[in-house]
Amino acid sequence: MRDNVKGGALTETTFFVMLALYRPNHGYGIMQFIEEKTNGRLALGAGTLYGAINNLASKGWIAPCGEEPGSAKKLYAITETGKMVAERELERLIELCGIAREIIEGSGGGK
Amino acid sequence: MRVFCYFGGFLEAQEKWLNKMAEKGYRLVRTTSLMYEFDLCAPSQYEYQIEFMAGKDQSHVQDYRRFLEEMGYRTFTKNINLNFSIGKARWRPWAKGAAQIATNPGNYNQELLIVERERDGKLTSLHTGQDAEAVAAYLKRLMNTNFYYGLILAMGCLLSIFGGGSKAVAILLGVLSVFFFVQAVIFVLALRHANNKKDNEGDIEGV
Repeated sequence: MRDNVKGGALTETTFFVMLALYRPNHGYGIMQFIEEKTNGRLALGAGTLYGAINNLASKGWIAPCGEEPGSAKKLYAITETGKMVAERELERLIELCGIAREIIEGSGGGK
Repeated sequence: MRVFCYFGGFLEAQEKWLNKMAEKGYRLVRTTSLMYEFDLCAPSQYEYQIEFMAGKDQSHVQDYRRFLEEMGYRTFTKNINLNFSIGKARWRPWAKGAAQIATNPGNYNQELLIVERERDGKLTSLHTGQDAEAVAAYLKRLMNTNFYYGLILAMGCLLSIFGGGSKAVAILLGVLSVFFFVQAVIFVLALRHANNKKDNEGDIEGV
């Protein structure tokens, strides 16, 4: 899994993990978030998710933020840097969607 | 129920066997270097996966195990090779005098992580998509480790032949070294297979 930092393109997994962490969440919660939001289309293996979390934490886009009271599960949350990256990715995707719509829907004779 | 069994580096065989036991209604509760202990459970209630952890440092392994346990999985460690060792001290039959005792860094005798999860009909693999590079790196580590053990044992075998050691020890070491070389070859083939797959899926991977 590699993210192209300069071009701004994130992998789907990376972007979803970051989105799941706009609220502090633990590994299991992240997995549930992703499965729920994609209706099970994107189901991550636990090892893959672990790699993604560590990768994002080492970039400083997410950070550990204590433990969940009661269960002592490790919590993570997105950082300010992470939010900036996510916002840029959103803009890139909107632009991409706009172009795709223009071409695909425009050429389909739909206009 | 206790079963004495040894799979060495044949991870797939070990995984299949554990899953077959689970299908019959046996759940793993404890592992030692030569033994697996099972309790009764509902048939097909659990499923098992094995991950190779050697070469990762202890704190990483512990962190990973904690993560998996938080996900609701259970984990066990298992040795990949048979050595006469207590803790981190290892007996090397081919060495002389005090050098027969060697110490090992890292997670020695816990090279394998057995992961148990409840069978819920959902995703089965610990590693999914987009991870082809990690899988290749993983296989490479497996291959190198086996090759390394094969080499050490082959040297031990030669040393005990020319050093005037007993014939039995030489034969034992020779057989073990062949065993590890065979495993190394198995992982070379697996690596090649994985690389082919990676190339074919390269286009879809993006996003």
